[in-house]
Amino acid sequence: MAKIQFDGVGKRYDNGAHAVRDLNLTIEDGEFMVVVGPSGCGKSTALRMAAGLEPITEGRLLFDGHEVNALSARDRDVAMVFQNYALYPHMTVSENIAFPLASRGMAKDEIAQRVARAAETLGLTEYLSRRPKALSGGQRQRVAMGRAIVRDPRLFLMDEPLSNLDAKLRNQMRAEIIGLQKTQGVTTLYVTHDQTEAMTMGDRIAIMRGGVLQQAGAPRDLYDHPANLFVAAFIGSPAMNLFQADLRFTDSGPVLVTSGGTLELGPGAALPARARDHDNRTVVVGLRPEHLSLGDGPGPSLAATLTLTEELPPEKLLHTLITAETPMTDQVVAVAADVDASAVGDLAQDARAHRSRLVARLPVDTPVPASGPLDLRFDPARLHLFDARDGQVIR
Amino acid sequence: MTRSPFAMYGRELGALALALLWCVPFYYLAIVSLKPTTEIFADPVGFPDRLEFANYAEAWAGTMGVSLGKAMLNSLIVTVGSVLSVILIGSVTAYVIARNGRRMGTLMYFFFVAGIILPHQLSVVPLYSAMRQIGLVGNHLGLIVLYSGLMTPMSVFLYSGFVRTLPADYEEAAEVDGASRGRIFRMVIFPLLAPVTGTVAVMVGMVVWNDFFIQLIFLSGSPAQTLPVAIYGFVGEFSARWNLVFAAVFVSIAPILAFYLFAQRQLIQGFTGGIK
Repeated sequence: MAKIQFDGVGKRYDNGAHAVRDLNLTIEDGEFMVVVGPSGCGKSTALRMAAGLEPITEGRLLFDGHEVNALSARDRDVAMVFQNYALYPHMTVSENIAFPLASRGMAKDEIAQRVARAAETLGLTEYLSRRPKALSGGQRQRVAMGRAIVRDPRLFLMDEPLSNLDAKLRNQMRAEIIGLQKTQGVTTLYVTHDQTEAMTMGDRIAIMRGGVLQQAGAPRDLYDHPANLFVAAFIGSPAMNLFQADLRFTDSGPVLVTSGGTLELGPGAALPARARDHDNRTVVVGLRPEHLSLGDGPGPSLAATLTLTEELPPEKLLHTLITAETPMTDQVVAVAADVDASAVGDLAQDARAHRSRLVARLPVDTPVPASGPLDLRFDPARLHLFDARDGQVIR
Repeated sequence: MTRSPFAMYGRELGALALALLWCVPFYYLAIVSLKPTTEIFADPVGFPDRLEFANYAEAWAGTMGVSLGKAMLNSLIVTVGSVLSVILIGSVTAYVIARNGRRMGTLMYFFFVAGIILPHQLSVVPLYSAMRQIGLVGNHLGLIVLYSGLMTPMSVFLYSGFVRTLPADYEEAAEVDGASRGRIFRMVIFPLLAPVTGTVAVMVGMVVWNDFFIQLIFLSGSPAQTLPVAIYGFVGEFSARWNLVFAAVFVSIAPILAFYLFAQRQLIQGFTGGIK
């Protein structure tokens, strides 16, 4: 077990391109840190640098305060689970699990004991003499885990280990990995592009984009207090609703002026302290789907048009359109692009039509019309405001 | 749709007749090897009046003091030695070349590919001269060294193509697991190369076992002479004892046939298999 520190770590290729820039991140002893981000954000490169499989070109990587930049992968005492498991196809399960121990010259008796223990922990005892091709996806995943836990490494590295499994098995393995990590207490760096995995597994999450760390913190902290538009749009499913508006402070309190009208937030609206600095400026407004409601309660409301209702007991999702500009900042577009190219097309289409899509998450038994106009109510205290120019949150 | 049994039998008979065509050379080989010397040219295709099994005994005694059994052992030593040497050198070299993305790796690759194209017959005279000086003419080691040099380019070509298709994950996993470069190659990479190793072994084995030209030049008159050279001993300047030549050839193909029948399944798997 070890405390891992990325101290200004960067990866610059010969052609000058940066895969990772100035990464400053500390993973405490025994902590489960998940690095998440869209494809090409540098998360796997960061993990490979920690493993010693990718040379570090800038900064320092420290294990328990000692720089390991120059140490080869075999000397770092880390264990890694690969995306496709990388099980040696010509070896049995037992030989696969024993390989790291045999490579370190451990005595045969000790190896046999440890392999048996690891197999028992992972429920693999009856499969020890099988080859990987005779195993199911979940069993292969367990063998990969077995190879990692068998030798008590200082650090677990996991590179999207669940991405090859179907949804049901992924949920099961997610719980098993969390349990295993807690039992073993080994510092873990886990890379994924699945934000559900990140939210449910990590003690803390680090979000990367374009090789740059955007924000690191506890899952709930990132969800409730995103540092910028990228984090806001990336974390959460369905994603945070975003639309553009001009923020103005009037005698009757702050208002948001959209292309569809003026939204009075009320004199007592608890906006962030620095919101006043953005008086008469364009901001991006963010609202989580669960912070929208129907009915005649207190607080301002948005005039929306219902287009689709999805029932997912115990909740339902209302897909609506409002008349407000869609933010087309590079951060929002980057998140959309990670979903699918068509998502970027939808964004552009909304921007041209001067409308924004809003999703509301309501209890499944909430009565709603089949389609047509409705008012979406919200508490101004739940608003997230971002600077439209640089996408940073307004605190 | 039900198939007519007559059509099926017809097809089977057709296939059998076609297969029999391949047996004709073997038939010819067998009957000539059992003919008396006088009958070979009088009635080359006909069945012999009497079967001369003594031809085999005479052929087995060999020529120039080397029996056919000894020649077969020599061929086996040279073939196995060359195959092992080519597999070892070719696989390691190809691994280094294929995993070296730099310019030097590409240059080395083309250097070896050029070795496939160049006709080795051109270099026989200087090779003979050089190898005689260092005592590598007329012995097994010399021939093994020679064939290793001749066949390594082809094996590097085959191995490097295969290594490039192997995911780097296996090596990286082994490296993180604490294995040295040597152990990674020995325990992880080389076993994964089994299909192409089979191809290289069969290819090199066939070439070395059947080659005549180089073995004649480098082994002629020595006690290390191999089967092709020993068989050639029955062909004199003014006369050739073809019945003995054919008997010796029949004996010489027996080990190859036996090996093929024994390892048929593994060989076919080797040619068609991949990483599963």
